[in-house]
Amino acid sequence: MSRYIASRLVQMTIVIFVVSVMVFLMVRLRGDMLSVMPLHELSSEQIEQLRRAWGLDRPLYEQYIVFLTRALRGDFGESRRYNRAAMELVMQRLPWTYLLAGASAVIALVVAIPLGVLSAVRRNSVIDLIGTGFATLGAAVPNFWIGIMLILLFSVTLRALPAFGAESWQTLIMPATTLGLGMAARLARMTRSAMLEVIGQDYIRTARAKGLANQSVIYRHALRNALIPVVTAFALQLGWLLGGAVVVEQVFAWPGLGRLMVEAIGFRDITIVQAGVFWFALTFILINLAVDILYTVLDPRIRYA
Amino acid sequence: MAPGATRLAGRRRLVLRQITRSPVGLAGMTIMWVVVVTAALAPAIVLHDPTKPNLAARFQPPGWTEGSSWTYPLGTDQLGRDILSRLIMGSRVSVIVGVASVAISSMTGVTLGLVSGYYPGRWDQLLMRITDAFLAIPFLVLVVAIAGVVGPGLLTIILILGFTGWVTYSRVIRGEVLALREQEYITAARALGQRDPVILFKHVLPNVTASVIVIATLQVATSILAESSLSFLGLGVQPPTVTWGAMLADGRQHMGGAWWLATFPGLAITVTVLGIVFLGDWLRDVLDPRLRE
Repeated sequence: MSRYIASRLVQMTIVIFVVSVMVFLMVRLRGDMLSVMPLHELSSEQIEQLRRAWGLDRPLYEQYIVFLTRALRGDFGESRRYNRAAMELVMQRLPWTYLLAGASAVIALVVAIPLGVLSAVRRNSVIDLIGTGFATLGAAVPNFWIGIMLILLFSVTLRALPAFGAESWQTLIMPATTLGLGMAARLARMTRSAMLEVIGQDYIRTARAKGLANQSVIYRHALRNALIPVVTAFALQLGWLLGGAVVVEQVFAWPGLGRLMVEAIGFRDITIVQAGVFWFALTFILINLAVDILYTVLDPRIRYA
Repeated sequence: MAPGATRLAGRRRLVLRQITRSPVGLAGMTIMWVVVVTAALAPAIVLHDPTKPNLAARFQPPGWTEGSSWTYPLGTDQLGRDILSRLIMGSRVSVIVGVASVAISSMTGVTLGLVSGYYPGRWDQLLMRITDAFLAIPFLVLVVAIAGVVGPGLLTIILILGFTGWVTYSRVIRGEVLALREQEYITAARALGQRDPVILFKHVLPNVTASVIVIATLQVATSILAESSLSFLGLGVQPPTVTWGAMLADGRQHMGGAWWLATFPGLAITVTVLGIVFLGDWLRDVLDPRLRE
């Protein structure tokens, strides 16, 4: 197992390296960084000076090496607008995004697993129809629209929940529900099909044949085995969740990393955008690594070469 | 001719026969036709100029509500522009972005997938690591960041979505090609002295077409959702071009008094995407049941 973990770590390092190249090149898609910054107040000599000072006159690979060595130390440069390290600003907002993503993930699991299991067990029943309907619709609805509709219903019409900000725990309810329902839709679909697959297996028939109660067959024998693909889907869907957070944070004025990034784009504050993308990616990579390692615990049959 | 090509012709007949039998497929097809025809005829069928402000008619509620008229069936926005006309006009951006970006990403992804599956080796490894990196950055984060740096605009959005969306194709196609290249008819073609490009395009490609069609259909939905997110954030196609995402952003501004501003564009996106998802699910069942999750 340690060999498996070691090979996953190597693979992860390579991916992080390629991500760093992408983050580096991304801001140079339109020439160098200066061309995307608002520098109207500077003369062309001053811009030239800036270009030399930031090393932007050097060859690309030299610039990348500088970028990488700094990034490895957690230094993505200064934010032009806030006059503070971009990394510091990102770290300030990151817990908010993690809180939102965590709460959404919990909602998604609580909704999706029972719904998926029931849909599979009572195949072609009313509950299956509702479950698959929810799963299909949930994947088609833009999540920021759900957010706006929730605000219209609970803040504007019923005046029951605060629409914006992050002052109290109540402000977490709507953004987390918005993101959680979208993810639940995707996850319920996976749970249903994983359960259907498992229910068709011989050992389930055996369990039933030896007279076990239906409950016990479903939860002890079927669900446990169906959970493995569900966990994989869950980890991959977290990428969707993090991406969705960028937009949903904007809807609810949630002070997370996504909102920081969108604001930074407005100010052309490139260093924050770079640091933000990098941290979103790193979070997602680490979660998937954790899930891969969790498998070896969850399922002793899995042997990794 | 490759066995895949005849199989595909047979499948095509099957598709036509089955569409009439599947309510979901039929619904998806109908929705798609309505959206595409609306987009094509948009300038001819709008009731009012979708971009011209009419300050005398600001915030008119939809026609069925009390004390309003049917002049503006779905109401008007903060500048007095007709919501229905804007929805009709906005369908154009969704259709164009959906189709054009998927054309770019499917061509890029399929080519890369074919080549890396057919020539496993150092390039293949490099390509797979690049794919991993693309998949490691949450899609919307990547798209938002690039759009933010490169700047808004219809063409930019198409290019960004096109060149970030190829990953799924190259992954799936590579896997299929790895299996296909061991098939006997490929060995036979090689033994007959056929050149690699000919083998790839005449013998391998037809056998992966089913997967490509299914992925492409579902990706149109992803692209439309991504475009609306970008436009909602103000990073997409800019005014005066009408987009559903930008209409939603207007709607969010005026949630307090005018619910119809945000409600209808969201419905339009949902119904369109739902139509594509229906169509994609049904195509997958017909063309390639193995792609089921």
